[in-house]
Amino acid sequence: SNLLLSEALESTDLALALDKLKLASKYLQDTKDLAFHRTQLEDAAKLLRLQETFEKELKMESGAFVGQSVNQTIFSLTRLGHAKRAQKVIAEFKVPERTATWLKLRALVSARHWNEIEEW
Amino acid sequence: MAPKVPFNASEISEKARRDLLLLLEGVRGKKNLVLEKALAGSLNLLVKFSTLQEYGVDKPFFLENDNVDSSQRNVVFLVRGEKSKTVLEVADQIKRLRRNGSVEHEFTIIWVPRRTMVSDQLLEEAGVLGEASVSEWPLFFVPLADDVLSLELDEAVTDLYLRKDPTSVYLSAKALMLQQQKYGLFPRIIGKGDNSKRLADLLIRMRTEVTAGESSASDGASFLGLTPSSTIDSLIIIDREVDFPTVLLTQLTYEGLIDEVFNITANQTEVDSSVVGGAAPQPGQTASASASMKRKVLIDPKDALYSTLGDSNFSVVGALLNTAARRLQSSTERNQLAAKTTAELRDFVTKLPGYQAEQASLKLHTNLAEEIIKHTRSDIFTRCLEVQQNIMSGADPTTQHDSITELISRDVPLPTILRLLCLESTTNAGMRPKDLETFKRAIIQAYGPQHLLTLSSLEKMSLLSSRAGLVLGTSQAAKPGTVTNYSPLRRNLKLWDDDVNEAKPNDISYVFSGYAPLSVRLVQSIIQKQTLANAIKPPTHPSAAAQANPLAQGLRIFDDVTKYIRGATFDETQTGEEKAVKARSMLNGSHNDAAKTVVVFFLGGVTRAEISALRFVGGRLREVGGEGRGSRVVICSTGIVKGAGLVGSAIETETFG
Repeated sequence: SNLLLSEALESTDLALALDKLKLASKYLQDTKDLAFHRTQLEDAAKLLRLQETFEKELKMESGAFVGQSVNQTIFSLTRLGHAKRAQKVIAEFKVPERTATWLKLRALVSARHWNEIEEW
Repeated sequence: MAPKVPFNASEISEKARRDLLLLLEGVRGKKNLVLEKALAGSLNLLVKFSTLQEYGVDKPFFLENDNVDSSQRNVVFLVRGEKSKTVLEVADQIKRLRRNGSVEHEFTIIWVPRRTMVSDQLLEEAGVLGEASVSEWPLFFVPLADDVLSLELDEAVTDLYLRKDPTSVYLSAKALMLQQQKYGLFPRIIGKGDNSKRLADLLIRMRTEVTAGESSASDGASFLGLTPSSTIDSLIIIDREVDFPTVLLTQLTYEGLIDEVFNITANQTEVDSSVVGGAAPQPGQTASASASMKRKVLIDPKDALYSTLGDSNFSVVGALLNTAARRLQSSTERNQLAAKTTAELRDFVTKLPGYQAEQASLKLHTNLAEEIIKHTRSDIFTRCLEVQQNIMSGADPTTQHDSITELISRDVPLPTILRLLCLESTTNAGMRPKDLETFKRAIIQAYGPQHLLTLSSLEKMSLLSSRAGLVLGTSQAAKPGTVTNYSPLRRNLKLWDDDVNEAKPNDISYVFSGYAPLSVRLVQSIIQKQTLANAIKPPTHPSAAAQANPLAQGLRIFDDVTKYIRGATFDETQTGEEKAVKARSMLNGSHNDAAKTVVVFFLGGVTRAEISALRFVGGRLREVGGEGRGSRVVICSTGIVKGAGLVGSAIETETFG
């Protein structure tokens, strides 16, 4: 499945990458020890799909979110002022509260939204 | 006859230089040289570019850039032939040149350090084997300093531990064999670790091969070459696998920190030119233009100032620089000049170039040190160091988890985090499965799903593991020699030193401000038993210090301790014919014990801090009346490593999208 994952990483087409990820997680379905690995693969696919929809909704050029990690996505969403969407990602991936707070703070500082920091 | 000094750095580089120039001479006329990037550093150490030009090299190219032009008829490739990827690149470029070039090219391929069957096969398949004349440049050890020889195999760590590729073991054996043939067998080979064992076995086999070859040829002249050497004391092989934590820690010597902050490759470091001052900056130039420029700075081990600085703990570097500056200032001060006699003045003038050079190097190092201080004062650096020190001193690692989590959320570069996690895992024989999972999730969320591959690579290198056996309570007893158990080691070897003296070091623990590298402790337990024994178990009253500490007898510490470290332990003696031994000792004069060389070979790389620590040990051995009887320590390795490189080899670089 690692092989498939690296193939997924190499493929430039998003749909193809998703397929590869699905296949990778399927391979691991039967073994119990690798359950963690599998959930992570599924999370990766989920993240990619989410990022894709964000890009469409916000009418940004492709590649703005895709390829980023969960934390980076939250970071850029907050920075661009889409707090609700960021909240959605946080809930979706069960990001720990401390991490989420750090991200929010850093993002707001880098966007210089001082008012929001004060209000928060 | 003057005694030959084995592992002589200048002799080795001289030979390598001659070999290369001879090869270049073999190609007639002017030629373009195509280099592998990884080789450029080593080449630079050995030969000046102007010398290459004298031998007809017109333009150098990097293999990776794929931009060789047809300006010269002769094209010489100088590449490592161990990896199929580079071989294929060479083949591709030959094909490309043949296609576009209007000129008929003559190709020469020089494999470093040897021609392999695989490379021939690949070239044949690509259909270019017939086109090129193939030769080899047996470059093994590249001397980085007088006592440091490196094979400069950058990927040795990845090869050995991730891909389990034994190429570097073979190359190390070859390199050591060449030295054995010249100076005689290592009377004793002792070491630790599975790969080291493999290397020792290989050395012994190569020896029998050579002997077998010789007896059939009945070449009586060289039989001396295969008797135990009278100038080498022993060969100590340490496998990197034995001691990963030392690499993972942040090095705290000056040289180590330069490496951590700026990277050192082949004694050269790339520093922002704003730090060291660009090469004659024009007044008209804007500051921003030169700010992003990188400048190569030579870190010269022969520089008098640097040689004292490099091995010191960073905390005293400032003071050292200060005294050096004062000394220089007072000796060049004008009003003092007036008081001097003419003889003194003449003396002063002859020394002037030396002063100037010293001034320049002083300025360079002051600037470098300032830059490093900026780095070490940062919050993140201090936090990391705190975690490291706590883990190494044996505190409960779970107390550090909060700090690590915070560092992850603050988006600290991934290698830093991985170093901390791997450090915890390697020193505590794995992490609790639950904790490990939390951290894995955090890393994937913070740095991206591609690091699922990174993590599994780390597990494969056994840098990161979960503590499985703990539930059954048999984790340590179950399989001796599979994991390194640190808690008894910490006690038996005194790996942690609370009252460390950084300014006037009395123990090797100064290089990490407290932690004494396990690898160096092992070496000490072989060559510096008395001192180590006293360090571990201080004698109860001073008069007992003169007597032998019972721990120092034989290999007691080494034997005691190796039980807790994973990997094979071995101790081989190589003997030869009685007659030959006598002949050799007669030839070399009667200097029985004195000035023998101890060779320490690090398989899989050595850190700069360890080099410093070994130099410290070596310095102690050289002291008159010490137990080392004036031995010399030579450090050999497959390459210089540091934590970022170790975990970096596992990191997956591709991302989605």
